[in-house]
Amino acid sequence: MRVTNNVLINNLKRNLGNNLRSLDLYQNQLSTGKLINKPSDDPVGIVDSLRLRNKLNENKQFQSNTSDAQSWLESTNDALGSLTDVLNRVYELTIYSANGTFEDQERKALSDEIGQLIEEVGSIANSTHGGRYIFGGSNTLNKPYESGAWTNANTDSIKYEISVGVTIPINITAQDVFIDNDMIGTLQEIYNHMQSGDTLSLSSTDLGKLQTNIDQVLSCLAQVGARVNRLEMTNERLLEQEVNFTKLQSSVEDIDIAKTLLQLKNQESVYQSSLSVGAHIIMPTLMDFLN
Amino acid sequence: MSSTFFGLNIGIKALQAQQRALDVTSHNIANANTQGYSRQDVIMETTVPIKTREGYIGTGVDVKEIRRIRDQFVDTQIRTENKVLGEWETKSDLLSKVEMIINEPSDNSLSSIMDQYWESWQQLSKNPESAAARGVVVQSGVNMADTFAQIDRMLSELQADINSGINSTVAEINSISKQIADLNEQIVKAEMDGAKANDLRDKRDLLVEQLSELIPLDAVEDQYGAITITAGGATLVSSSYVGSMIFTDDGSDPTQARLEWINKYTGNTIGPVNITGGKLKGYLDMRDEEIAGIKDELSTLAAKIAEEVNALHSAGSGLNNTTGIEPGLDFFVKKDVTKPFGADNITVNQTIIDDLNCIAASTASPVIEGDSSNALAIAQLKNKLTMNPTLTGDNRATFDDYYNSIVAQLGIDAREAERMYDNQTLLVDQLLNRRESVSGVSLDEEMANMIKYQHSYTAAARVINTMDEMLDLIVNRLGLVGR
Repeated sequence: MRVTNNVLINNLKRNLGNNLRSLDLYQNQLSTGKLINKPSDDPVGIVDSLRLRNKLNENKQFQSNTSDAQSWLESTNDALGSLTDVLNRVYELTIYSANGTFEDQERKALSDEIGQLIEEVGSIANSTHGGRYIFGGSNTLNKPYESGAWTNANTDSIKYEISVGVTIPINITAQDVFIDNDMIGTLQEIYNHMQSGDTLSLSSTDLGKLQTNIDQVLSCLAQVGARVNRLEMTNERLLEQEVNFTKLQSSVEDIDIAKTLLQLKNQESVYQSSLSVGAHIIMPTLMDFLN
Repeated sequence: MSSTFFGLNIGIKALQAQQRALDVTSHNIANANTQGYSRQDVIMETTVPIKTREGYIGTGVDVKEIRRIRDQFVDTQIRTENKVLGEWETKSDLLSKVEMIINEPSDNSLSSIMDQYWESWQQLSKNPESAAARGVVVQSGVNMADTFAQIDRMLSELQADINSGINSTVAEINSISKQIADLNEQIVKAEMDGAKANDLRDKRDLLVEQLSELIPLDAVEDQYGAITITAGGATLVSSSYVGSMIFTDDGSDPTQARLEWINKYTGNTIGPVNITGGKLKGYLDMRDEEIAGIKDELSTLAAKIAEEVNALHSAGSGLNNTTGIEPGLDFFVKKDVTKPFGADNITVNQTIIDDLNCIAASTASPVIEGDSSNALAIAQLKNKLTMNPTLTGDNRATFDDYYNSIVAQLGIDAREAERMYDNQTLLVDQLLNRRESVSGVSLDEEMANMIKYQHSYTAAARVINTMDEMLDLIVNRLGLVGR
């Protein structure tokens, strides 16, 4: 092949351009730290990259949902705990007053405490979490219990989504805790029987009913505990997933810095040698030897 | 017996021929870097010998031809490959612009913004009573609708830019055709006596080559030296005739702008220009298929999101629905009610923007403030199989899947275009080198030739000198005896 000066120069120009482009690629990768800066950098990887981004966002949301659900359930747990304490106190008082040796006067004194405890149950029924009545079903803005009556019969469960398509109910309704076994009614009866000194009813039916109510609260507590456990497990799983997704995303999107640096150095030396070749191309022609 | 001055005559011819050769060498050196220039060679031949008694005697040298060194086959190949180069160069350039518009992966891309939208419904599902959570739903909805509209607008603007690109390309084609026709005329006139108009031909070949990058063409040279160029299904140049194309763009719908042949005398359009390659095909494919396709797909996505969200939202209850008779509203509405939902035709219902209580987080009617089952159902649309990319069978894709596949397809197309452009550049560069190796000027060669011709010139001058001395001897010094 006949080679002219322009053939050499054209080739040099093209190769310099190619080398410079590779340099640009590696420098771009190093400065952004990313292998994928636009879809065409890796059309297959971009799908994973986008999917993992979606998943990570979703994961973050689910983590926030579980922790919100946990804090709601903790409020419920506290309320139910206090309720158990109250009912146990009532139980103690009922056993005391069922004792026939008590004076009516003493029994009345005890019944005053029962009266206070009934108020306490009412205020527990109106417990709030972030301004919302936790036993109000989905009707969170209306008090479940007001001046001795149940004012909110809503029994809907409030559900949070904790992973794709999986929801968990976070509330226990007043129906479950208080109304099903007529807790207030039981307490009221105990109060009345104490007032009237009806020790027989106190020791037989009232204690039985009270026990049913206590069992009811305990079973609700157990439910809350089970849900909290489930949420803790879910949360752990979500945290593990987050680590995995982040790792995967990094393997798809991020550069291997050591490798890329080496490639850059390599490319730099290629570029420099092509520049020095360029210096040689402008070499002496026949003209230099003619005189 | 030859005449006394015969030898002198040979010497003069030699001087003239070497001088002409030196001129050509000089011309070659001068044009070593001229685009499209082919080196020229002086072809010398002996003049007709004369018969003497002793046999034929040479009568000297003459320049027969100044030949342009050119390989027509390489030219044809370059033209063929140039049209592919032009097509992919345009596509690669435009696709990288589309990639910039889509802007994936990034934290401000449509993908992230859709995520934010579904997240806002999740947040609302946890706090349906909260005005702040409602505000976030509206804001992220507005943001998503705006992003769809913005991407769509930028793609439309790119289509309009393509049209102005086509317009200037058409102007370039028309101008080059005119120049080729002018050169045709000049070449035919110049070559009437049989000599080749080398430099004019170089110019014309260069123009044809430039044209071949814009539109695929066939060039045939006739016996008089004029070339006929057919392109786009009609005659573009024939001798001194120039066909003309016109690009009509009324600025309304960029994909409706047409490229047509025009009758120069009547001004009427004759028919569409048939584009099978070149820069024009790159432009048209991008405008009518790639970009229009992405716009369609984004519109399908936006419309489906609007449809699914509206179906749930309008069946739910806002906080105003205290009586159970307040009808649910559509969350997304059309900007232009006469057209279907699309990426450019989606916005959040102004009533909802004005009154956040209209957001229907509840399914109960009359509304229960703490009920967020509808918000949760809407949030769960994110992972519902709502899209059907293949248009057959069941829905198999979520909104995200569908969008991701749009991005992946764009990536694949952009990568292919880039690769094709690189390969084609390499191929054309190699062909150009091949031609350079045939037609290019080598300074070393020219220098060598220069010395060669210079020496011959000197030698011929020396011959004349010798003849002169001989004549001097005969005329001035012979016969002194008789003086």
